[in-house]
This record gives sequence, C-alpha cells and structure tokens, in this order.
Amino acid sequence: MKIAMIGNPNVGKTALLNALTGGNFEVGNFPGTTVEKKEGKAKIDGKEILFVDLPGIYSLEAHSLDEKVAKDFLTKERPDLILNIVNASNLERNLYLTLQLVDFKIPMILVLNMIDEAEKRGIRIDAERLSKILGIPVIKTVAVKGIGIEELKREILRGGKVPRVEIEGNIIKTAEKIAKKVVRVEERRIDLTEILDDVFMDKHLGIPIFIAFMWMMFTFTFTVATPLTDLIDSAFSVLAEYVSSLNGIVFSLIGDGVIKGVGSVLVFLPNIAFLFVALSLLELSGYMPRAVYLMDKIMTTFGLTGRSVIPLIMGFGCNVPAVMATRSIEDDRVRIATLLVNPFISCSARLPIYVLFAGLFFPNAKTIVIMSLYAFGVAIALISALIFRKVLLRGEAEYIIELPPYRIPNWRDVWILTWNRTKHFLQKAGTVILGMSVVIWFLTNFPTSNIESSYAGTLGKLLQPIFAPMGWDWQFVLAILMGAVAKEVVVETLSILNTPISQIMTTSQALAFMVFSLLYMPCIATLATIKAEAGWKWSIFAVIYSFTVAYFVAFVVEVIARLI
Amino acid sequence: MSLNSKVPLIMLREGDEGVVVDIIGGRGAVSKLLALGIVPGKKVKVLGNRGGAILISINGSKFVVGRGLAMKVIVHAKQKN
Repeated sequence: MKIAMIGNPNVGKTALLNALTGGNFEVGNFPGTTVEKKEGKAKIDGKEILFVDLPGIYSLEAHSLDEKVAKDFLTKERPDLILNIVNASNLERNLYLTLQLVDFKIPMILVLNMIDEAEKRGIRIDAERLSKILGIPVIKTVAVKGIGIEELKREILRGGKVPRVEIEGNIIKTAEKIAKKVVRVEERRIDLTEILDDVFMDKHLGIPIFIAFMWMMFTFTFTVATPLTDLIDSAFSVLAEYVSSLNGIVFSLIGDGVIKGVGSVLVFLPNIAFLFVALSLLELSGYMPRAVYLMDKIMTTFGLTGRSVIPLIMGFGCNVPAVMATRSIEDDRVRIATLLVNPFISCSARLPIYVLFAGLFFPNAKTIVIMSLYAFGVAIALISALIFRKVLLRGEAEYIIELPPYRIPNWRDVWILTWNRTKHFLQKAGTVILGMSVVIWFLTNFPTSNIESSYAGTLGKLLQPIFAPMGWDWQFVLAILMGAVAKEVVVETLSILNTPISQIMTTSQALAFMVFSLLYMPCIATLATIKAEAGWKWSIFAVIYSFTVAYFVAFVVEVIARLI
Repeated sequence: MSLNSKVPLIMLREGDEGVVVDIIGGRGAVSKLLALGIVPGKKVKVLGNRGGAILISINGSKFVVGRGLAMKVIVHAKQKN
C-alpha cells in the first residue's frame, strides 16, 4: 500500500511521519537545492505500508518546483491513499489544498493535526460535520505527542474514501463556507505567542534581543565546540605525522596528503554540527521569521532581505556553514547574492594573519587595525551585494513568510535536521578538499621536498611579478597561493619559509597584504560549498570577482598608505 | 489619507486596518497570496510597518510580507481613531 502525505508547510507532516513509522524513514534530498521527498515504511497490523511525504505546499497550481513534484506524483504514481494533513488552527486556508485534491479522485483521509494548539487558541472544529461535508474520514491528532495516531492507523487500514464535495463558485468561497459551518471560535485567551511577539518584535527591544540570540549562537558554535575541534585537529596531525614519518612515497602521500586533507575538512565538523543544532533550534522554535522582519529594513538598503542576516553573521566564524545557511532564502537572486558576498565577511581563520602583521607593523594600534579590517570586509560585502543585485541579479525580491506560533523544539527533529545538513557538508566538501590536498601535497613535495625549490616555490617565484605593484616578495606570493586551501596556511607557510617579514616588507605593503588576505578568494572549503549550493558558474565567478576586488583594493591601499 | 481609499497594503501604518480588495501582479505572486488566505474580502491588520517588510495579521495568522509583495495587495483602508 502506498500512501501520499500532503499538506501546507508547517502542519507537522514530518512529526506525523515520525509517529506513524517510528522514525524509520529516509530523506531523499535536501530542501532548497533540490526538492525534498521523504519515504518511510511501517507495518500496521502486519500490513506493509510505504509513506511518501511530499513537500509542503499551499496549492497544486504548479507554480513552484515543490508544487510540480507533488502534482506529478499524484498523477503519475497514483498512490492508494492520500493523507491530507491540515493545521487545525488554520482550517479555512488549508482547505484550498484539500479541495484541489478532490479532483484526483484518490481515496483520502483528512488529518486535523495540532488540534491542541487550536484548542488553546479557542478554536473548536466539528470533525463529524466536516467529515460529512467532504465525504472522507476526519481524524484529530497531536502528532508530536502521539495523540490520535492509533485511530489514524485504524482508519488507514480501512483505506479512506474518495471525496465528494460540491464546489460552489470557486475554491476560495467554498472553503470559506465550509469553515463557517464547522469552526467555532471561542473567546480567545491571551496566548504565549502574543506575549513573546510583543517582546521579541518590540520597536526598541527587538533588535537588541536578536543580537543577544546571535551572540549566543555564535558562542555555542565557535567556543563551545572548540574542545572537539582541537581534539580532531591534534588527532589528525599526530596520525599524519606518524604515517608520513614512515619511509616511502606512499606513506608521505597518505600522511601529508590524504590524512592532512581529510583532517582539514573534519576540523570544521564540530563547528558545522553545532551551528546546525543552533540554527535548527531557532528554526523549529519559530523565532526565525521574527528575525527576518526585524532586520529587513537594514538589509533592503543593500539589495538583500531580512533573510540574509543570519548567514552573513555566521560568516565571522566560518564561511562554510554560513554559505550553507543561505538555503533558507526563498528568492534565488537574493540567495546567490548573499552567498557570493559571504567570503568577504572575515572568518576566524583570517585572524592569525592580522595578528601577525598588525603586531609587527602597528604594535601600538593593533586592535584598531584589526577591527578596521573586519569592518572593511563587511563594507565590501554589502557594497558587492548592492552591485550584484543592481547588475547581475536584478529583480525585486518578493516574499511572504507566515509567523508560526512559538514551539518548544523536539530533540528528535533537531537531531534529524542537524544530521541531514551535516552529512551533506561531509559528502560535498569532502570530495573536493580531498582532491585538492593531494594536488597541494604533490606541488610542495616535488621535484624536491624543500618548499623553495619545489613546484610550489617555483610557482611562487613565477607569479611574483603579478604582485609587483604591491611590492611583495615571492614568499608572500607563495603564502597567498597556499592560503587558498585554508587561510590559516598563510601564516604557516611564512613560518616554514622563515621569512624575515619586517626586513623585507614596508608598512604600506603589510597593510595591503592584510587587505588582500581578507578579500582575495574564498578558501577551497568555502568554494566547494559555493559550488554545491550555486553551481560551478557562480563559484568561478566568486574567485574572479574576489580576486579582482582584492587586487585593486590592495593596490589602492598600498599607494595611499605609502603617500601618507 | 482619506476615508475608504483604495491603497497598496504598504501604505497602511502600524495599527491600521483594511479589507483586501484586489491583488495585482504576476500569476505566481497572486496564487501564493491566495493560497495563504490573502484573498479579496478578508480583513487585514497591520501590526508593524517600520520601513522594511510589513507585519500583518489576517485570518488569525501573522505574516511578514516583503515590501515588493505588499505593494501588490490593494486594500480598502479603514482609518482608526
């Protein structure tokens, strides 16, 4: 028996699927990049049942990809039964979809989910009458608490009924009439959502509270995860060192190339997993759309929307999860613009570069110089966003988001969301990084393992003339080149080469070098993520654009700084 | 603003109420709004309009509507006070 689960977004479909199958389901694809379709198998009274959870949609008019997927499934695969899941607090609107489903003449069951929330809001629904009007069984459930699930299972075994409804005029009018007959709204008690919204979206308090939440998320992602990050880092470097110390080129490849490379991906893993836990909590609690509203005005000034704020802030930690966080942006042009400018937000890996150079050249103004670099990165990001939206990604962003009531997130949902996203990162970014680390290993170890005379060293010297306007020596060029893998490597390379930095560099050159390091290109991990999220075309564009901006800005900075 | 004037939703101020009379714009925008229950005849209340996206309440649900989309919803403005 094949059962299709259809409903609007935010009706608790996934929770219902969990309740029916005991969490035994596979997720097809990640939402945002491709369309999500989950499948779950369960046995009810010994009968094998396949549940197909279709994407959350508002109608079947096939304007969006989600709607098309759902419609195609119903027409081509003809499920045996449709479970139409409805948010009990919003019956009238949910009925638009229900009434469109009538045309398919497939047996149906209507599930009035989250009935507890509706009742808390004083909404009473006459399920019996609704069942008579639609000609199908109507079951009240609270999926997260397992209420009504047994009854629903019994009804599933009976197979549902083909709906018979008279459409009077159009669907909207019919839905309104049906809702009037079966919904009774009692005196509304003050509910928690109203109180929380008064505080969280307050004119004066809203934004400070948002900043506090962001700070909490940031600390959780990048400070709380640090012990794990350090553990992975040291475990891999010990392992890499041990393996590469063994004799033979194969061990060198495995140790310095493969293990170091895999390690450099896995070091990001705790941060990414922790970030996704925090993001899932924000999403599932219902706070996210409130933040979008609060930040929209500021962001529209730069051609973005309120949706772009969280990914941009995350960039200060690491651009990889930040680029992945852009998935929640519905408007594709805004999404691309947000992810393209993200690498200009100075991630934590770039800090060691500033610390080193600012310490050497601006010992008395170190903090100011570093802070200015961060601010400069933000300015370049926002200006670039505005340019992209005016030139390449034109068009007004039209969006509408429903504010769901606040809910306490269920740990199982948090885990499922986090794991699916983290897995995606490991698969996509892992393959590219692995390949690149083998290439880098080859370049630094051949024809000799001395960096200066290796291919990498030769390349640094070869490319040095390109950076002649800034006056940097070949060591700095090589550092930049190596830093493309991960920005931490810039400092590492200079230390391996024993570069006497303050002797071969002027203050203006150092300033230009810091600015260039800030802007020049997304690291390989970020680039792999951009490729996964937006495709090759945009990742190549990101490299060319950021390099051009970095080169030009660094040159101007060098000239101005020299004149001063 | 005169009484009972037809204006885009975005013109309403915080606390204002109105009735949706029309939705202008492409099929995509129209059908999305309709599916969300933003249809002619519905009462709408503006909960927040601070220069960015607009916050509205309609049918007992709250929505954040981007300014672009809020331009396309035409309402009959009822003036409070």
